[in-house]
Amino acid sequence: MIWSEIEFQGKIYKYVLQTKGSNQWLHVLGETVAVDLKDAGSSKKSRRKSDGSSTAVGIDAPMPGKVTKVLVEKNQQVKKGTAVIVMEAMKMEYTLKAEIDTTISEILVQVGQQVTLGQNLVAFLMPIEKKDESNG
Amino acid sequence: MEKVMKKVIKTIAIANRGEVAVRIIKACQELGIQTVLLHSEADVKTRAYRMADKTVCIGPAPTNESYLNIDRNIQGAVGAGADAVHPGFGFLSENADFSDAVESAGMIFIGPTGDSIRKLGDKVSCKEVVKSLSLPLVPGYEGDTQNVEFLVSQAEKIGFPVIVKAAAGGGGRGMKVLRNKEDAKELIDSAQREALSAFGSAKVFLEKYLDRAKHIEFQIFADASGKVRHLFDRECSVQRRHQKIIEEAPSPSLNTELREQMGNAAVQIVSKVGYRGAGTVEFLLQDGKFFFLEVNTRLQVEHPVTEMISGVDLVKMQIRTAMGEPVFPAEPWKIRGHSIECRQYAENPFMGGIPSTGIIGKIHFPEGYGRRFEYGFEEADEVTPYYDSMIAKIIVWDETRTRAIQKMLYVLSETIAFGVHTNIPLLKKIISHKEFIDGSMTTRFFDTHFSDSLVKPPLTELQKFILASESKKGNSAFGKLDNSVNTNPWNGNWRLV
Repeated sequence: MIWSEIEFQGKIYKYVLQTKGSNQWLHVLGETVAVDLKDAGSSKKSRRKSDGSSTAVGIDAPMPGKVTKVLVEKNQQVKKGTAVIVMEAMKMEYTLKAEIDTTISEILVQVGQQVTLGQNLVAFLMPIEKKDESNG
Repeated sequence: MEKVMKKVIKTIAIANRGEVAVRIIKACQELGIQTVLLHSEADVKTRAYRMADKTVCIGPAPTNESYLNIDRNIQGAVGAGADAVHPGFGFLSENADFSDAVESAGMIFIGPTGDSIRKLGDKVSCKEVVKSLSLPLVPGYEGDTQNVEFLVSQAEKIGFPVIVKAAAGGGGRGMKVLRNKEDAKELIDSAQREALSAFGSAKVFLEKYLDRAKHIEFQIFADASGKVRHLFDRECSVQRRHQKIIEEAPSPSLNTELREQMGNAAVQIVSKVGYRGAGTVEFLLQDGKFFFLEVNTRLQVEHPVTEMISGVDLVKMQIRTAMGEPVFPAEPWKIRGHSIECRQYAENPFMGGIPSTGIIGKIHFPEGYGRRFEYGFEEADEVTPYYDSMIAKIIVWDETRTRAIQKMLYVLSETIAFGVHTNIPLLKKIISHKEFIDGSMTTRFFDTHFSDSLVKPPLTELQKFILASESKKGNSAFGKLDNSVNTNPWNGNWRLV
């Protein structure tokens, strides 16, 4: 492994850095960090992407994987916490739940379908309560 | 003692993938045996594929169309001229029908006979063997009646908390803890589904859940003549959802007396069934008493820690046993030093362990004395979502447990893996925890102290400085690290399948 060197506040540090796609990976002082270059400026967008699951508009896939169960139907009213979709990836089953009381507007995937990270899975109708989403 | 026939093995087909396929290939290389890798379409860009002498694609990525498909594995092995098949662990390694099918096809199965697997590997029938030896069992229900309402009533009889498990396999899949009657039905349903998906059989059984037990297992080995010995114990109490994360040998929890009693029990159990090759007998230890849990009729993921403290090569022993060669030394094995293994999972520890897939970037393992790395991917290989997320095993050996922990902490810090997130930050936290260091951890350790996601720390000044200076060099300007999200999207919503 070929390390780079840098001087910072009077000391020399060894590090390894690699850019892969939109991410920069850095290892220094025994820790690895990954920085998403696309995140510059848009914290709202990146919150949605990295949270990946349920928002006021629907449910997105938090990871690439396969849809194994669709537990709701179009126009069904669901309460906060209701299980909506079950996905599987890397031998783990993950249940995606509605984060608000809402109504299912569209089911955008079918059982057995492979989906990508962030792919829209289910769309909600306008929520019954308008929630003030603070995106930090 | 049976008369042992020597058999010739010139080519071994490996019915597995990832780091264990690499492990088996290395043992074959050292023995001068040719290797055939039986792989899926998703495992072409992998280390095992590059190392094997021959490769045979046995199907598309989904496991039931490839790694779990008996016919395709057999056809692939026969077509490539293999004399023997090594099943690794997981997949078909504990499938008695597969063992029989390999033998019927004229090849040698590197593992026990189908009959032994049926007697011991089936998590229910092995209890009959143990009962017949008057050895202690965890109280439970192992009957054939699988109707969910009946199982719920049995669980009530045993007394909550009760754990429901798949009869046909382990590794944490198809396992659920029932804490009350209300949730029991849904959880049993789910366990049966997961069991069917992972092992091809929905059969489950119930056990009293011991909530402050240590998971202690003994490595056993039966040579070609049928003689059984053990190679000491391992402790695997650091588990998440019944999936092991960290293992060590020997267990810091056994005194000489317990080690002898449990070791003898392990040997007795295996001796009853005409076993061959490597296996593991698992126990739970609670309040100084041990209870038989199950037998795994295969090589286990954590076998390296046993190798490190005893100086053996278990995979070569398996192969040589299959060839009819004697493998037991004249003097008994001795424990030397202490070994710890950490499983490196491709997951994001700052997002509750959500799986991370993608193309691997730079990867570096800090080699050295008493450091061992078992890995199946190299830079530019792809970690796909089709298989479990373990991408490497990081193993250390040192003269004492304290030194082994210290070494592991250093090695984890110096291990580099770019391109996919890995659980190294979590592993470091675990082995730095007081309960791990003093060895008092039970199987509840992880859930008690690590059920919340790790919180991603903000970038340090040094890190920002390096990233900024790289951007000045012409690399893309780095953006704001998203610090606002320390959510755990899993929140108990995920489980093993």
